Amino acid sequence: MNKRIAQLSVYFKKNFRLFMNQKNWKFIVIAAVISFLVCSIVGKNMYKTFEDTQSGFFAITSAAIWVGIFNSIQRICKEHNTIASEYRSGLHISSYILSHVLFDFFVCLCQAAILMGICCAFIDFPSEGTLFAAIPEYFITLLLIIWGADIMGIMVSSVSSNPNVAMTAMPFVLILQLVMSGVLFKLEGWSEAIANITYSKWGMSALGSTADLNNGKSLPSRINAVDPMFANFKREYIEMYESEAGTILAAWGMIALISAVCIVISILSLKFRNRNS
Amino acid sequence: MDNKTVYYRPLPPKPATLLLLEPNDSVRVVTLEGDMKMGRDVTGSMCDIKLRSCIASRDHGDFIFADGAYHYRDNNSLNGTFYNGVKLEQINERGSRAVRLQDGDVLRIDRRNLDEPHPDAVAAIFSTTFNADEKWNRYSLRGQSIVPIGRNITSGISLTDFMASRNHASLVLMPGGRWKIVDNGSTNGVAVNKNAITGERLLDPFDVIRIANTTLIFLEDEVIFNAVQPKPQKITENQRQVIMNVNIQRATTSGIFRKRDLLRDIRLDVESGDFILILGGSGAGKTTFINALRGRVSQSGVHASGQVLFGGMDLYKNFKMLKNKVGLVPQFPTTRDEDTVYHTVHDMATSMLAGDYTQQEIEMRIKDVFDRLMLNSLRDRFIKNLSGGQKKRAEVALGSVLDQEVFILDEPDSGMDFATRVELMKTLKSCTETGEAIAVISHAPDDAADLYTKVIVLAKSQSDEVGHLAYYGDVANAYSFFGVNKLSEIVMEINYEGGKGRADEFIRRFEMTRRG
Repeated sequence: MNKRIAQLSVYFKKNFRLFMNQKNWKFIVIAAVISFLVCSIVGKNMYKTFEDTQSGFFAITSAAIWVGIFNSIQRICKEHNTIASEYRSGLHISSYILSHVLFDFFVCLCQAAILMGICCAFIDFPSEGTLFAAIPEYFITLLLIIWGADIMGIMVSSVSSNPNVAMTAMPFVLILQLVMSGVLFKLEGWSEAIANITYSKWGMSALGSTADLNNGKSLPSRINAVDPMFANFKREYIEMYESEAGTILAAWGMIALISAVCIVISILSLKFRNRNS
Repeated sequence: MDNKTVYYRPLPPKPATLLLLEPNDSVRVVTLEGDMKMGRDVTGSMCDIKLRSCIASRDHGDFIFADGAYHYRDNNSLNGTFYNGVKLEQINERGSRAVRLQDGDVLRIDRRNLDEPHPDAVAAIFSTTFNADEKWNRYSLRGQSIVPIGRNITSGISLTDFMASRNHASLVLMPGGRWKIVDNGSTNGVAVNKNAITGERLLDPFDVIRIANTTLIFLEDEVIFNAVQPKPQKITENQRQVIMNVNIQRATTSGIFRKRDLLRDIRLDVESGDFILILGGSGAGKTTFINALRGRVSQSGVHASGQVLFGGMDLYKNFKMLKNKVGLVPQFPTTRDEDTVYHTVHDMATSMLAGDYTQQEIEMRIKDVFDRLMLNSLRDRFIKNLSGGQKKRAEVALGSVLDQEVFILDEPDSGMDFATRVELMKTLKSCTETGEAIAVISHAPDDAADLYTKVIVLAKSQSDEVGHLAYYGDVANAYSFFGVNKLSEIVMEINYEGGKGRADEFIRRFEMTRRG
């Protein structure tokens, strides 16, 4: 068996053991609590108006990103000394990082399932999505957002010298994700370019595409419902919510691409940190 | 390299040996004990080394021990003796003058033309590095074109050495009739004549191939190799040997505008089973010294010149192959608190040895290390639940499973109370009983002064602002050398700030006595 694959296997098992021994399953409980809080608040207004639905998805996306980052933000930086020692003995950094990425997939899978389950309990989702049924589409999107955010947490943790630095960086990363989603502010120029490397924008794009947020008939603007005078008011068409296979696949692809870049940065930063080992 | 000091009793040099290779016979290891005669085994022979070959004369040659070295003299034999491929009569009058023997020299009794060797030719390899009790095997290359070399393989050269890979290397016959050795991507690499090779290398007769801890000697039509024995539970005094020769000429900061020496002329030998205390005044270069010992010559912008030898191989030149021979156990544990001792060691062994070792082999290796370091009772304990000494023992096990021979512990006793410090040092001392050497930096040296076999004292000279070796020897001699009653007082003697500032005096005196 190739040494890198063997190390991947060893560290995958170690991650599971440490997950249990360090009681890291509490992150799954925390994810459930956050999901419950968010869904209980936004759930009742979902699929009534465009604004309420968009806001609801924004809250769910933000919760997913928070849950994902929180999984891993301290994980790597608290092991820097251990990594240095093991790297000198022959550890492949790529195996180490990929073991975390793969193990966290299963954690994120649980968290996405819980989030989706709680969403289903509070939100009456339509049956049809863009590619296939809506609920599997939402689930895949939420899984990708949580997993992607988790991988971004691994990256931040890899470049941080210690947990304090990582936790200091975390709010900035979160704010960037929220501001750049394109929901709170209209993004133009450089901010639009930056938004392209955020999970929030592509997450919102995928969720909006599945929900067909641009459909004025099923999701009227709040103003349409409030005043009959504006019954025929047509709101601006938002391209990233286009209900087409290409839109949702591009959004998923971008999330995967950003995650791949985060993995590469994590590996390179750890190799650089241990270059003299 | 002159490493001899008068401040400890160095191990006696290994006895000189002859590896005797006669046709259709196993490899004979003969220990040379003073003057000895070599000749054909006939009735009434008075020879000490009896040869079965019919082309050897009854009184073929003499081994003579003179001036601390062995010499060989051909006694006007019929077929003569070749010394490293040159017939002795060509360099001296027959039987009149002896040649001084050095490690690796080859004596051969054969026809005049070595290109047509006699079927009864005899080869004898003189060595001062092989152990006399080692078992050697022969493997014939006749009629073969590719010979795999690996651990416990069924065909080819099968090694008993755990650190050899299963498919470690191959001997390949080239079209012109020469053999080459090819490294098959092994974990621990291949060295020929003490230099690590990359990929492949053509072989000449009597080239010495090193695979992990196994030595193979390539002869034209066969290979002989030693059988590596598993490490003993406890080494005896006779089994102790020098495992590391240190000769750090200079360690220099490699700044762009100004280079500054941090250490100079550090020469010492480390022996298996040593438990060494490293003492140093402020700014004496302890950290630089440790990094230089570990081969981290470019660490933190420091360049070290000189040699650190393991079994004659230079760590600096063969870093990839030897990097696991010496390990640092840092002040703060590098293990994961919420993992058990077994899983910590098992994962290290599996991830570093995997791909080449079966799970059963890895388990046996772990069992061996646990037995030797008495870790069986702690096997399922979490690291966080171990005492300071037990944690260090677990960290030593991590290195031991990868065949580390020298461990450097950086202030393992900091923050501990007296009783725990003593218990820790006793634990570490017990780890050296299996043959590993441990060097410890401690700021409470008196706690376990009687446990240390040697003390290294580094001191910063005021005249050149560079760290030097101010003492290397045993504890008893250290007291008299520095005129102190406690080891901790040595630092006071040498320190300029807050001490007596006698560093230069001791550096000079140590250098003078070492030169004799």
